[in-house]
Amino acid sequence: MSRAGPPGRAVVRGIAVLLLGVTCSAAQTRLPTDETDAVSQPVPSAASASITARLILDRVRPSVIQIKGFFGTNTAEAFHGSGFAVTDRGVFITNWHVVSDVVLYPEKYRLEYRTAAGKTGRVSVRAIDIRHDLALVDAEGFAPPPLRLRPNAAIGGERAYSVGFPLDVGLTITEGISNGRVEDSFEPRVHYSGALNAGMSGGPGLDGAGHVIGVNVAGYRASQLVSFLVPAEHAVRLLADAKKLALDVKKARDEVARQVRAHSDALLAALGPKLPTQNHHGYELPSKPAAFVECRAAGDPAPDKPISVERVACDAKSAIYLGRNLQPGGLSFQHELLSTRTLDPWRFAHGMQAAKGSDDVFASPRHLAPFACKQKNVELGGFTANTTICLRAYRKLDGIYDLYVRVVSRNGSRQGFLSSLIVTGVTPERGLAFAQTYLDAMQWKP
Amino acid sequence: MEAVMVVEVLSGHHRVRARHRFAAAGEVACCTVGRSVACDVVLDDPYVAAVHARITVDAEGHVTVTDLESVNGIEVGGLRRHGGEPAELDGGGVFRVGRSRLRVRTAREAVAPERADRSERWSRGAERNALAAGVVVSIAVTAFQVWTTTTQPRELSTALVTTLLALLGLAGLWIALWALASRVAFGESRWLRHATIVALAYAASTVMGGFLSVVNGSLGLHLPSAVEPVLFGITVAVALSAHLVNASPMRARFALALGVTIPAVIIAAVMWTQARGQNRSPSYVADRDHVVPPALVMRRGVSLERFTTEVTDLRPRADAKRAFVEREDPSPDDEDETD
Repeated sequence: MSRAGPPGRAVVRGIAVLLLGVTCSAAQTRLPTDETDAVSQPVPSAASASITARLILDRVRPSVIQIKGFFGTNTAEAFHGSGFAVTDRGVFITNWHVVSDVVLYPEKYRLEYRTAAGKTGRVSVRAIDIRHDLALVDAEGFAPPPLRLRPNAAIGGERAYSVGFPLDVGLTITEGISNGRVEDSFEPRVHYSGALNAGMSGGPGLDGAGHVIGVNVAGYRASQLVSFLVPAEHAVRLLADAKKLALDVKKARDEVARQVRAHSDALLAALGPKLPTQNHHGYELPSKPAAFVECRAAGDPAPDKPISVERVACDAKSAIYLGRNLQPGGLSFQHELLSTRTLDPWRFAHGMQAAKGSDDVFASPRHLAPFACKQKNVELGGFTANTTICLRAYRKLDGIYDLYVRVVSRNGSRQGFLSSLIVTGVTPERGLAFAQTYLDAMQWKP
Repeated sequence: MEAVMVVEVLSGHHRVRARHRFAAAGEVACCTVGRSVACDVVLDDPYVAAVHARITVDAEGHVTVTDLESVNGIEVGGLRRHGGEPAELDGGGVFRVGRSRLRVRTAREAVAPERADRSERWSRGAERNALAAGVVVSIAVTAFQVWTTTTQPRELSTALVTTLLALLGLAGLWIALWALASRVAFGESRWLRHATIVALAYAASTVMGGFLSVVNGSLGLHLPSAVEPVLFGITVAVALSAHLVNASPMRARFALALGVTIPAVIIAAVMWTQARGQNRSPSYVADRDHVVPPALVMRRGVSLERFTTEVTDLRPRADAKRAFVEREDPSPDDEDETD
């Protein structure tokens, strides 16, 4: 995530980049060049499109605000995003990740708004929907006419626009194409092929009539014009559930933990009670369990390696942003398959031992406690494997844990595998049940 | 009756450098000490006069030393004397002439009973055999380790030679340091003894480490991580004590105490530091297993059902770790991930 400073490796793996904060520089989200403009030739008439954009911007200008976060008593901002009015009583919608610091550290941060006309005032958080990265906020003393939400209406190929305050350069509209719902995503997203830059988070994504089809949320760091909106129906639902989801500032962390638990429960439920498998060198191992889980395989093609290694890594891309180095709700697993034609069993065993040291279970000591683990040789489906299961608790969020599972096969003298699974922000019961599902899927079928 | 005395010239470490026996058939025997060849005991000491002192012993073994008008005099019982009355030597019979130390032994001296000779068990022959065994085992284990870790056949000979040469260099340096200490303390280097200690200690530690790994993997014991460093520490303690006994004049019990204390303190400090970091790190996953070839796996694993039942205690343990870090480390630095 591109909030402040370089992201951790685990975050980069998540690919999608939130758009909050001035520190997300132009270098990370490069503007299109003349050549890339040429790619967008299907637009019928450049002149008419520009007029539409101008009309839309004029229409939404009074209803869009910039939301700024301040640390302590500083007058220099710490971060900023955008928001837009959804009721005529001064209620605005924005992204959860725009306001997360204020919710988690109310004693450290405060929020203010600034309109396009320059009016300023305080902002308070009314309700949050962490899973869909949305938040409802109240802007003190400012109640412009609301924008009209158009749920379930993101159509592929439709002209679309996005409005916000990118890089603190003032209210801006970008023009692009809605590509409809992203098919392989755990979280519902609208694929917007247009520019979204840091600071536009929480701003409206609009159709040609100026109706809101989504809320600006993220873009791919290394790609051009691949951006995402949260579908408008989730904003409608949050608005309807605002009383139920009303945020008690004193119990904000409990609410955050509850929503993370709900997210992880939904994620594991979506994977089903049994995992599909694929045979690797005789081992049946869990494979892509759902369409939204992204799996990639790689290996070293060099022919003379004494130990051949293949890696399969799967990631549900479901982690949710709570803060720097704090993204629970993720699930990923990887298998490392080792085989040899030339080495004896003793040296191959040594190669397996050496490969065990490469696991990556990094976490910030500020947010997570150490692992509690149990390690044993376990009889899985037709073979013995050294199995480790660990849990670590979140330090400031009650009831959620990270689950880590490591499996090292012990039956092959010239082939074997190392497998690891990590599920973050899960209840121990659901996590350990999923660990059993994961281990249950493994079988030796040469 | 015969008066007999033996005059010994001592080194700085109280080792006898020269010994002269004097006997007289009469009541008294005497000798002179000085740089002159006319003296009975000749010293190459520039602080000694040509004829410096006279030593006299009577038939009953009473010894007196008389300064013969030298510039520096003699030192008896810590007092410097010049000319005049003869000074009687007390029990130890040690006095100084110039910067030389002499000891006079007489028939009055009580002779300690004969000590039983147990050195046959640790004869030089046995010591050589032990050294040879230690070297052979060390080279064999090291060669096996290099062979295990070098998967490309073309790299094996280079890795083997490099590793053995490095080990030889380090061991040689270590042995040389102890031999130097022995030379200072006892006037002899004891190369063979120190080399044997090093070879046996290295062989023992490597064999023990490998054995533990194989047993751990074969039986699925998952021994506590402290076992290996503790056993290694015991080996080092024994070796260090043996080095100290052979390279310093301290008594065996002090050498043993020092030999145990030094590695114990160092290993305990390292283990404490490691454990402290691990008890606070959310990224650390303990791994007490060692992969061995399937043919060596002697014990079946537990069933998955049993294992999943056993892991239900992870939650309270994770909560306890959370309570620990909240208490001991309430505000850690939020470090970035490092590759």
